Amino acid sequence: MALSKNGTKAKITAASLLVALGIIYGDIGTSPLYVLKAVVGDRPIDEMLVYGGISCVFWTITFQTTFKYIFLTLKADNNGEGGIFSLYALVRRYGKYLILPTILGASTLLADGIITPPISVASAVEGLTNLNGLEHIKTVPIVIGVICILFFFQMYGTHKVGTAFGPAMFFWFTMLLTLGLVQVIQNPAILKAVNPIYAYDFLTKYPQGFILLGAVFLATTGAEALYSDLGHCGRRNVRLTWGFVKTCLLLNYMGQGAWLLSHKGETLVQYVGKTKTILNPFYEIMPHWFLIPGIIISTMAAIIASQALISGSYTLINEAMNLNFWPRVAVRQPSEVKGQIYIPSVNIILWIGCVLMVLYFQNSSNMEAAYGLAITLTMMVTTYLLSFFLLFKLKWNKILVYSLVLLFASIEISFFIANIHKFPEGGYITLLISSVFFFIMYSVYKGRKTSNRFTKFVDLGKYVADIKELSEDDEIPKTSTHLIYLTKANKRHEIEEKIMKSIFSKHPKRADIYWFVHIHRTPDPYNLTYTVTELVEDKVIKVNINIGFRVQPRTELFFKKIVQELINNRELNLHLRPDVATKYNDEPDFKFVVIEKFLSVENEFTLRDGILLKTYFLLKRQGLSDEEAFGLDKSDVIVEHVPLVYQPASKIELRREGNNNSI
Amino acid sequence: MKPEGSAILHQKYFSLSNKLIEITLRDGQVITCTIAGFFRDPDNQEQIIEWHIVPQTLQNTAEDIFNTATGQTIKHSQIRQVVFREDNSMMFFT
Repeated sequence: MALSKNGTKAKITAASLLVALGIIYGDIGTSPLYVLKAVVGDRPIDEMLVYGGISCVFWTITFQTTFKYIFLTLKADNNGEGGIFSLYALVRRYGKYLILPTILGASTLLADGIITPPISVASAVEGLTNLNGLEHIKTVPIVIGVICILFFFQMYGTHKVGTAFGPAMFFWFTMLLTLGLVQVIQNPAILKAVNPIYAYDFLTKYPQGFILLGAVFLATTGAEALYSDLGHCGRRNVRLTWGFVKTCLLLNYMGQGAWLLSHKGETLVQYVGKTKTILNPFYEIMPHWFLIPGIIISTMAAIIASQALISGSYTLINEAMNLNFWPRVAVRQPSEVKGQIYIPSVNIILWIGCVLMVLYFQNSSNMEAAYGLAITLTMMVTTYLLSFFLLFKLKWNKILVYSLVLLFASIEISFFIANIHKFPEGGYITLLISSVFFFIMYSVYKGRKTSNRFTKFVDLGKYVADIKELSEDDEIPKTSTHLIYLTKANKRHEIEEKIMKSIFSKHPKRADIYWFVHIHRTPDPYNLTYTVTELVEDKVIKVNINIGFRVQPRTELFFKKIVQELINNRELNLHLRPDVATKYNDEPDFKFVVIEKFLSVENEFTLRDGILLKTYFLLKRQGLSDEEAFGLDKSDVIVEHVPLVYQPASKIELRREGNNNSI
Repeated sequence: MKPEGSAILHQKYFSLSNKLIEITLRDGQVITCTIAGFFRDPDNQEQIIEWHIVPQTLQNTAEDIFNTATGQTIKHSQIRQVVFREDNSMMFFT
């Protein structure tokens, strides 16, 4: 069977289509829970509002989700993987100014990932208030309970329950289709809403119709998550299932519209005691006897949608780490499923963020006001990066690409303008969270860049004779049989000066074999290959390990495997140099030397550089150590610290007492 | 893609036996030196943005008592011309 790079089946089967339903469409698939409720709100129901709102939803899903994401953006798969970082990895060499927009897009996507689970779960759970006797039920504790359980179980992985996601979502979409169809049959006039003239009239003539685009936009927020999850299912599975999903979604929206048309002149406002609530047309189209199963199915779909967002956030942070945009943190694999990861620190951030969102906003109506603003920025960035992909990778005609960019930019800028009105109503929360993520990513990027900028390379060839001499000098105590340095130099005869200083300065490090290992993160997500160059036979060896950006760099494991292979191929002889140690133990000993930089006290910073670099080193201290990040056992590692002198203090008035000379 | 100037200089320099070169800077200053190291552009690892040179007069004292390298760093963009003593060939940078 043909397998794609990430191990998922490339072949189209009923099972692969079900998997796509369960993973890809969680976010976009649960939008009917809140979109029309947000569009209508407390306004009087009339034809212009209903036809116009439905028409806008129809054309938004058609242009934005179907055309931009399903047809165009899915073309930009990076060896099967999707998402903003994969797109950036594909096009980064074609543009100078792609980093900042990419960081911005990823930050806003992450921030929206924090609000998606609360809004989906809250919308589903609030259905309980439709039941007789439960009108006054406090939904906040239930929503928080569901969210807490969801995050608690992340550490165990979702492999087992994940297999049920596909059938569950199939059931959900079938429910959407059936509920919608029943209403459309009763009031088929709603089908007129596909005529774009209704959307035009709504935007231009309905009072504040343009601002209501912010609510319409909620119907397509999941499109970005859909692209991020591409790697789990493959493009063909997504495209094939989209036809079914789109039909179900549109019929459900139409069904809700049909129900609204039958309540012309009324509002969705309902008073329970003195509390004002807004009825949800999603639940209103359900027969009363179906409410309890309907709420259970909706909550289940909301949990699946939240799970997709949480898993997507882990993937996004993992990619950010591998592209040097995020401090290194622990990444675990809770199951044997390739690509399924769990990041404890991100889980805690999301957990706290989601609970705070629920506590702050209290109900889904308030969350709708905050939702969508940040994701419009992600979509604009995707359009920008996509234009590079179409121009330089697919080599499409410039005029065609510019026309497409113009089309999507005008749609997304319209959404952005409409969404900006959400800023005082709660949009500032997601923008605030986005700016924290942005600051972290930018500080890490800038700090790493500065740190690398001061990495001096020297000619390794110049030191080879000295290394050989040191290795054979019995007067120097032996540090290890194998001494391994991790190097950034990918060229054969190049090495960092700090490594040479580590070997020779102060207490020289004698070893039988000196290894210089270069880890090269490749844009190919699951690549794992290596090359070996012997600079001095059995003495100085350089190894380049190419690791895909989605593979965990377990360097020690990979390295030992490489040594084993070299021995098996008789390219390396480990038993040429018996020493005292081998008398008692013939196992070769390995020592990895990790050189960590720290900010020297000699530095004098400008305000901006000071903030960025100090934040970077602070985040670095909070994150994983180098040995943990590279997958090295602590017992096999020597850590050395070297100062980073970025801007040495230049004016030092140091005077010798009793003398007028200053230094 | 055609390699840019700093990469060509790097390739040529590290293939030489006689490492002594004569660098003419854009301000007219001429320095006879060897290259002790270099700094790559963090955004484009193929490109070298700065060179650490040790003038001929300091060849025997490449490091001071604090193990700090002597000599100076010059930006690649400051270099106008390099003469390689081994074969008297020249490299111009526009």
